[in-house]
Amino acid sequence: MLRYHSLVLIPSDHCNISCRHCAPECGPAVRHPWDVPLLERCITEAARIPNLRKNIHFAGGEPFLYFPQMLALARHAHPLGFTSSIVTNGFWGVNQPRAAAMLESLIAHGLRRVELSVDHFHLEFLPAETIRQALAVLKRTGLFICMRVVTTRKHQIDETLRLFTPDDLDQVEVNASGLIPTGRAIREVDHDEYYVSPEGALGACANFLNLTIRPDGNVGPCCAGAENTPSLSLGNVHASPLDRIAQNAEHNSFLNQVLQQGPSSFFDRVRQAGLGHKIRNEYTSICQACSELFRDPELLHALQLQDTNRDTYRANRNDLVNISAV
Amino acid sequence: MLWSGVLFDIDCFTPDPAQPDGFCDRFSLFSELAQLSLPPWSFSAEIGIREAFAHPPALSAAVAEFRKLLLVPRLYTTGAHFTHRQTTVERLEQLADQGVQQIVLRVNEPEAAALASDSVRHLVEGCHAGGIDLRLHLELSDSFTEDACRIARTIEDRQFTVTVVPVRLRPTRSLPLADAIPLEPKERVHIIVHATGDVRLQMRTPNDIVELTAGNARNCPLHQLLAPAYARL
Repeated sequence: MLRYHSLVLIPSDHCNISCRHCAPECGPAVRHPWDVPLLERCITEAARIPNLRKNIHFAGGEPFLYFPQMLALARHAHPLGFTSSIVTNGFWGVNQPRAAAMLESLIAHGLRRVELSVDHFHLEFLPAETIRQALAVLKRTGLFICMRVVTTRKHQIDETLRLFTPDDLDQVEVNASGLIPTGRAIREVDHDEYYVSPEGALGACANFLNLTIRPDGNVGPCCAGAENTPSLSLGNVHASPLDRIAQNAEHNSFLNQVLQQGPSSFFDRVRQAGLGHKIRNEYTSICQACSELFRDPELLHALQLQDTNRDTYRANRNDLVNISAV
Repeated sequence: MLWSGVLFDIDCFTPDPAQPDGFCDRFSLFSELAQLSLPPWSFSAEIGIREAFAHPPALSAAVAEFRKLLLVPRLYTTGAHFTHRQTTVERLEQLADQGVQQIVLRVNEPEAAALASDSVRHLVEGCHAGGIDLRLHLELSDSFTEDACRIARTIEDRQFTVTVVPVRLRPTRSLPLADAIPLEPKERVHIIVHATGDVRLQMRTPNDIVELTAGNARNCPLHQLLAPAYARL
């Protein structure tokens, strides 16, 4: 059985900044209002999924731009047994009293963890002082604080660390990971900057899954690229109940191979199809290999993945009929 | 309050002429650990205090004992024992086979300055070969020193993801148990067993580290030492 660490909600790609490395290409011009009634329904359905850890992770976009909606969803989720976490750029640090009040409201409804996205790319838009202020507020709440840093060969982890003092980051977990060439990064970040290696595509992600809902209702098995890859879609919450989508995913043999054996397990089939030139010698990570392999129409056709996925899509389509009847 | 875990000095398990088996075996400490109800799913059992790798046979024996209790030991190291690449890789692969899942490279400023980048590389490669999660704890005073940054960069050069936990150095205040004030219901207390057998209960505050003396495990079973502390706190 697949195991999901969180239900990741990406209700909107709207963000106050538009970082050069952003995979979903978020920014101020991208507007999706949060569909709170739909997401409340999804949370209720998620409470019935046995292989989902009961945590809602608010992502985006910038979730704090939609604080009332986020609070409403946390209020809905907490009595169902969910805790919550947020990934944010910390822009709200400029107004500490208001930030403290917002966080206290969320904590009262299950917030346990805040992840701050801080790195060279975010700091092109937000000053480090704002992040320091956000950290100060967060520390007073007692929440678990994680700083997420995207690194490249040119902008290594210490570039970000040096902007802060050990006091600022005391007991903050700093998680750095290499930039993956997807979304805006493909166009706006020099390819020489990526950390790549011949082993980059090896491995699998079955231990890192998150059931992820995108603004258009599509559901993916992770929030590291698969949620933006149509061929890896598990279904759409506009068409099927979320618990049914998760249940159907268990029988999706293609998906299970991707997650359990990794994208490199498809390389031999790609070569046999005469498309070996589409496999790189070096990758940043399995996430890059996964995104490139399963977004390429020619590769998808050669691998006949549509056929493999047919049963899942058919099951999800039947659910659409059931929902319409309700 | 909650027991967040227990940290053993590796010397607790080191045979010496006076106590050939190390005092932990002699006092059956591991059977007592089972009574503390430590959470088996977290890294609640730790071996260090600063350097778990100083005595390889003792480390293997200690890891095996923890695993019998279904505890997953986290190992602390200053990186000083990883000067030879092949030995490091083989050692870490063995420990991974025994069930070690996480190693914390914990250095203060002098330790960071003394640590060669090659040793860090060997540690990263060994962890990679064994599938062990490697974390970096930096104990610093005023700023991120060049040596601390060098170590972080060295890990980043070899590993796609890096986890760093900066810790600001703070003074330690030692108190007798009688002077301790009651804690909040979910406040976490860490049990530290020193090589001498002294058992300290450690709590972190924003400004200092408070250590309460619970007694000596050479003279008294661990659970008997901790019972009054648990009742009082």
